[in-house]
Amino acid sequence: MKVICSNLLLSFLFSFLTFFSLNCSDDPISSSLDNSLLQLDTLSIRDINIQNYTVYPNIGLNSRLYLGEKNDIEAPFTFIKMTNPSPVNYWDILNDTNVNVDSIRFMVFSEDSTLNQERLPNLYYSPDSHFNENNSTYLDFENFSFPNWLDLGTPLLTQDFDDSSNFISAKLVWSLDSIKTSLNDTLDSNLTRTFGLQFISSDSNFIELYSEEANYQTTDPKVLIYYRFETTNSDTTILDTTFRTIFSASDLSVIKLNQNLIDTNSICLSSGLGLRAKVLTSISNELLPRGSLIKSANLILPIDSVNSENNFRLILDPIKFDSSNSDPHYVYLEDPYESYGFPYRTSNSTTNHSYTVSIKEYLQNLLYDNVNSLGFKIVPDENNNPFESSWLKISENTIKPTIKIIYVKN
Amino acid sequence: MLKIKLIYILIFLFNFVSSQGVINGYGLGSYSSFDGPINATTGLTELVPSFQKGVSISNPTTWKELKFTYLSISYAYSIANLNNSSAINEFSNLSNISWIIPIKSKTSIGLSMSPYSNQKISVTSKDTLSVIAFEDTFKTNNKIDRFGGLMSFKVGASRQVNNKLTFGTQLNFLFGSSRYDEIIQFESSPSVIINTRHRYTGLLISNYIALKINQNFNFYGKYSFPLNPINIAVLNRPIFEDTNGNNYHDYSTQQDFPHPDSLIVNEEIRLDAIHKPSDYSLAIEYQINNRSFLSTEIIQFNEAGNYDLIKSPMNNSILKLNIQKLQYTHFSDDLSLKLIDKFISRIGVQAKNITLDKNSLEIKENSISLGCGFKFKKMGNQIDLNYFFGNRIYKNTQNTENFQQFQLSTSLADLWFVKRRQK
Repeated sequence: MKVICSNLLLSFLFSFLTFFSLNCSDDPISSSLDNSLLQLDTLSIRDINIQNYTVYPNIGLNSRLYLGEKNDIEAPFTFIKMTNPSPVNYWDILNDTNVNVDSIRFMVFSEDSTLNQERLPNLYYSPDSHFNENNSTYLDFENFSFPNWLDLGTPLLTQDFDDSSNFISAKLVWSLDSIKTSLNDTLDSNLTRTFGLQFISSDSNFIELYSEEANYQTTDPKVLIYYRFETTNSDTTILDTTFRTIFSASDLSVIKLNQNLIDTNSICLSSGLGLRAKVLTSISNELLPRGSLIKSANLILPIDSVNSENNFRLILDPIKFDSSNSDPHYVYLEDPYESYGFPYRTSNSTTNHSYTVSIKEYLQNLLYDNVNSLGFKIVPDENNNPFESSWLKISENTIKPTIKIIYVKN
Repeated sequence: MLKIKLIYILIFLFNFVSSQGVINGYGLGSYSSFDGPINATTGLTELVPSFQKGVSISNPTTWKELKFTYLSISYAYSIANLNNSSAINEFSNLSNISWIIPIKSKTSIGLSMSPYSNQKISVTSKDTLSVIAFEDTFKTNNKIDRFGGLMSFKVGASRQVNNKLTFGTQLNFLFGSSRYDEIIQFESSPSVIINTRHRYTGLLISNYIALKINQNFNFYGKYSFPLNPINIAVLNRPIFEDTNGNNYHDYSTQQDFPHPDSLIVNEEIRLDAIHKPSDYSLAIEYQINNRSFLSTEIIQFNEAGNYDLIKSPMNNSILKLNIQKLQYTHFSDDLSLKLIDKFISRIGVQAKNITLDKNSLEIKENSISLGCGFKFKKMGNQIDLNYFFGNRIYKNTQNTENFQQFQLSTSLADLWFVKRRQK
């Protein structure tokens, strides 16, 4: 009986294991597959036309603030607007009768270790708003000067070092003690604390500072209020000192457009010169067989390595709407080419010889009729140094602008 | 004990000597009804009784001979392998479920569900292609994957006209779907896939006749034709780059290209009368003695559909089928008390000739079926086991494909629709 039971158990266990081991597997069978229609193919487009156009420069989103002249491009003014901190408005400390304000300091920072006391700009203060970080250009400040602003003079320069005595940053500090009342004028309902920077002399001074877009906070432009206050606890009175920091809300370096530098025979890209480029190609939705998939598609533009900065970041964005006029010398207040943006906007840095950028997403969607074929615009990245530029080499016979497409056709 | 161990070892080995069938890649795939036993109870023959004496689960004209209502469920495990391939594949599925109700030994009705065709196949190109694209060299390999198939839901009935003649009919509702992936694989970048989905609907009718010629000979016949030839709704989905490698065009962290939202999926295209099959079967049964029968069956299948409009992995379809079968069946003795007499045994041989549509290519198939059943309990519940094996010779390539199928079925009998006295 025991033997029968053990045999039955063994049989059951084996059947169970066998049943569950009968899983489906599908290793492929080899065949000639003549009926498979998917094939890899390539296409080159050399019919590419590039034109420069100019937009008044605005570098409000740059991570640096500039002042002075470099490479014949001038930044005559820099403006910094301070925030109204929330939920506690630290500016109110200035009018608080329970505290004693010791000092008020305005600070900006620079990564330039060679700064010296003789090459520093003047600071000016105005309780009014004077600029818009995203829209203001030199056109808004053509006859601008600081006579109606409060002159706060030149700063005290100090340098910060780490524990190993390595330079961290240079700090430019101005005292705002003299304008304490003006900084928190309760009678002014539209109080906008704006600071302006300008070199007094017009010689070739140049300074580069951290802007609030650098996003380091420690090196953002800021105002520090140092104060004393008393706290009474039963029979003890404690006198304490502390400070509050107020950071900048927006800042802008105004760049003066120098049209004399623009060479109409070459294609240049520079945010300081307001120079952008429009790329026209013969791309259409009939370019590739219907139902194709773009494996890769790159626009390759030759770069004039002699005149160009290396590693210059350029943004390519397909044009959605064209409101440009026919005059190639016209300077636009705003970019006349409305672009698609994400996900078609791509960027890359130039190398010594070329600028290569992917247009795969755009081209695939062009085949699906999701986008139109008005061409592309190329703009310098907002964080490029506005005093630098990149030049395209389009007149050479040997290297031509090309679009190289690798696709799978069905 | 040694014999049992040997059987275990053999069964275990069968699990690993297997591969998928090339025939799944032709037209609508391999037709289950012509691919071996439909149910382990039928053995090799479809029309001739082999379930119980005078009864075939797959022939409505024989259902009236059942004494009880039967529910029969069959599970199959199919394997095949090409002689020039080391690929290992298996496929297992529920091969048939039938519910048969005899009414007063003259009439019967029945429902059944089974796979109609199996399209599961994966085919790769023999050679790797090198494509020079600008400064890069791409090594590519083409692949076709097909999944799915058609199911068949049958509603049948039969009526005895007199002691010698019985007629039966069966409506065969066909439905199903499949997915066809054409893939180009790259050595160092994601594959590109184009995917097509097919949905199938159709209605076939089969008419049956059973004629008792004399005490020893019975004749059975069947003719099937489409009432509504199979229509296919084809949905061609856009080509995509399978970045996450899961064969689906989907949203994920590593997004497939292009983004699924950027596509407008085409509308379904309806293709009519793609599959228009007609077939007839003729069978003769000879009674050797009270329990032993010898039977022969021939089947002729013709396809009149147009497969040019649909894709198939092997770029061909089945045009004609000729099948000849010979089976010996030894039934159980219901009155005997001996255990051995409770067993039913079946042995059959089959020769099949398949003609393909393009280039008149031919496939020859020879197979053997070995089966046994065991009746138990008063009502006649039955467990059947069948082993079917053989080979196919593809005349164009001289490839030989070996195939095997294990099938297990359970048939439960009971009195249904009978008013029972309350206790």
